[in-house]
Amino acid sequence: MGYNVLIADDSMIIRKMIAKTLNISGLDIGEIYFAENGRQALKQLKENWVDIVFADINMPEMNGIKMIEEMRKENLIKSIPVVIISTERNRERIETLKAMGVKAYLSKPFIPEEFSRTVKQLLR
Amino acid sequence: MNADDNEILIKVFSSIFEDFAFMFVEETFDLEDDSPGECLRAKIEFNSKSKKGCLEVVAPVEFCDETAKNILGTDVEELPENAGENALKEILNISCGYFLAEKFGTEELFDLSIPETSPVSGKEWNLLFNEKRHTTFLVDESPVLARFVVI
Repeated sequence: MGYNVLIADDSMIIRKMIAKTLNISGLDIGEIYFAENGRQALKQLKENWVDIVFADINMPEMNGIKMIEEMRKENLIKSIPVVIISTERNRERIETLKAMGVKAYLSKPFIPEEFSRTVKQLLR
Repeated sequence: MNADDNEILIKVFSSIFEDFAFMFVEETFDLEDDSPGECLRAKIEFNSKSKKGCLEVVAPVEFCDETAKNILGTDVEELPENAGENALKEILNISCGYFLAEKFGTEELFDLSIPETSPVSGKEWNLLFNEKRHTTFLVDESPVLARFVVI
């Protein structure tokens, strides 16, 4: 069985780019679930088995930081690894995310090779 | 907008269009005000404890579709609905993050709005162009206007 993935980003272009990069990464990918904001992402996480989450920070309705805070309150989903893919450049905020348990941070626009390497390390 | 901001805008958009969409930016000083037809304006607002402003970009609709096609590696006919608009918004979103870091450094904490778009007619494009408040450049030979405002 492949790894199930959740991609949370309000940009359809980014969601499709991440999915495409995953599909050509050589990883055994199962289902890919999509969400346009943190609220939708939490719903997907409660309804589906997900092995890894890719999320943006700046999303409408519920941003990525609030989404992670909410994830940490739920026993069943609190330990799912989260990779942030964002335009955020502020060091303090990136450190805060890492302190919240974010496993990796990638800057947009990400390099597919760097993305694949990061995901492989996390899913190993 | 001062010369430094112009320079940073050109640098940032050059880097993002090249890395994200495999498209090349060329600075231009002798562009005619011939309208490129229907355009889209994308705008994003930013604020920190001490700064507030926005970044906007205006580009032809056809060019936005071409950008989406390049990003997704697909044919224009196969593009999802609103892909061009989505591509312009994402280019602006990414460029804004890089622009703010380049101009103000990475210590300042900025919050960004969700980018929004609105249509711009050929006539409006001419007006914007002739106001000379925007930085003008070509991306794969299509004219693009960009403007940074800090309040």
